[in-house]
Amino acid sequence: MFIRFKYKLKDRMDMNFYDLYVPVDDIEEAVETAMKMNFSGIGPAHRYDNKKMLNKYLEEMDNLGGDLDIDLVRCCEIKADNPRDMKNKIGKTRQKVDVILVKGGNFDINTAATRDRRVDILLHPEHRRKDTGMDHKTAKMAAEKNVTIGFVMHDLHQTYGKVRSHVINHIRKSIELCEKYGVQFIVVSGARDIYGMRGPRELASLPKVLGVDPSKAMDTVSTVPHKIVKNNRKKLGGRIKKGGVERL
Amino acid sequence: MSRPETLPSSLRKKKRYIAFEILSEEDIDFGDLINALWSSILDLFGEVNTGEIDFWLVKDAWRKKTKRGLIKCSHRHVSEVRLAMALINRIGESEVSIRSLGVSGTMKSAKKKYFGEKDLSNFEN
Repeated sequence: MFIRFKYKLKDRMDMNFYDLYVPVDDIEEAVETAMKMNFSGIGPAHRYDNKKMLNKYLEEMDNLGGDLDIDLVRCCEIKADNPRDMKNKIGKTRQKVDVILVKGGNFDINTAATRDRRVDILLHPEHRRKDTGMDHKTAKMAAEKNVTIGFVMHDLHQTYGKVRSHVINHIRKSIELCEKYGVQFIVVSGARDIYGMRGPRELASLPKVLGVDPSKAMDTVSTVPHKIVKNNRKKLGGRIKKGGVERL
Repeated sequence: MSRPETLPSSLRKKKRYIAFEILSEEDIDFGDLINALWSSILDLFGEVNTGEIDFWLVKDAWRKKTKRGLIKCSHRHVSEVRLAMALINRIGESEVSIRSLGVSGTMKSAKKKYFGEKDLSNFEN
């Protein structure tokens, strides 16, 4: 019994923690704070506006990432007005960045994002809505297309009282749907500055309090995001071909 | 003044100490910290559940210089306290981020592990 516990503890200590949505202006400062908080990887997200800005962001990331102990993940956030715009923007960015995040909230966007294999993470589908922004069909589709749902801690910082209780309730319902249909979900900070950043265990406490199994809750900040990054890098490096065949 | 005796260890409730550190530019007043923590935990879980959490901020363990402190809570509700801590983004007038350093079963070991304090009970010469 004791030995089993010891191994479990060791596994936990070896975990790689990732925060894949940190849309800060000062990337260097955010990286420093993330290292202090024991993250193995951080994704300072860039909101896609035009090609020139994206190239500038990629250049900055390349310059920073050389001699750091932390994994810098190139993340691009897509904010679209309609599904067509979303697809258009994804087409322009997919080959250039490691992770594509789509900002949810609009139900049409939520549905379109869960139907698109190129999308990695659908962020806060419940954003500024009076419902969860997800139904059983979207959940099923997300599971089929391997789209992860991302819950953002920043939404809770921005709200209080009645509205915060609604947000928490929507997140709880979304998590229930995700668990029922086998959709993967993660928790991200969504910090706009370093004071919005939170440690991995603090992020994992959100699903834990909402009734998710403790080990699964820890996976939302470690195994799941790490897997997304690893698989995407393999795909971008040409190691995984269409149909999921991997060249070893 | 007479006091009730300390309960035997089998009857005592199990507790945990969460060591935390505050990231901020300004100095933090302990009174403001208490208010922020209590209001966050009460807003999030309500009065009944907060009673169950058995939350207590240890005054003697607050280190003003390093902005580190200890929170005592029930061993079953560590993640609730962590979430309440994570939802604080302002103490008094200053913008803050609170991060937990770790969890311990006793105050002595928490101070030793996370505050770097040395135990001088076996100090020779």
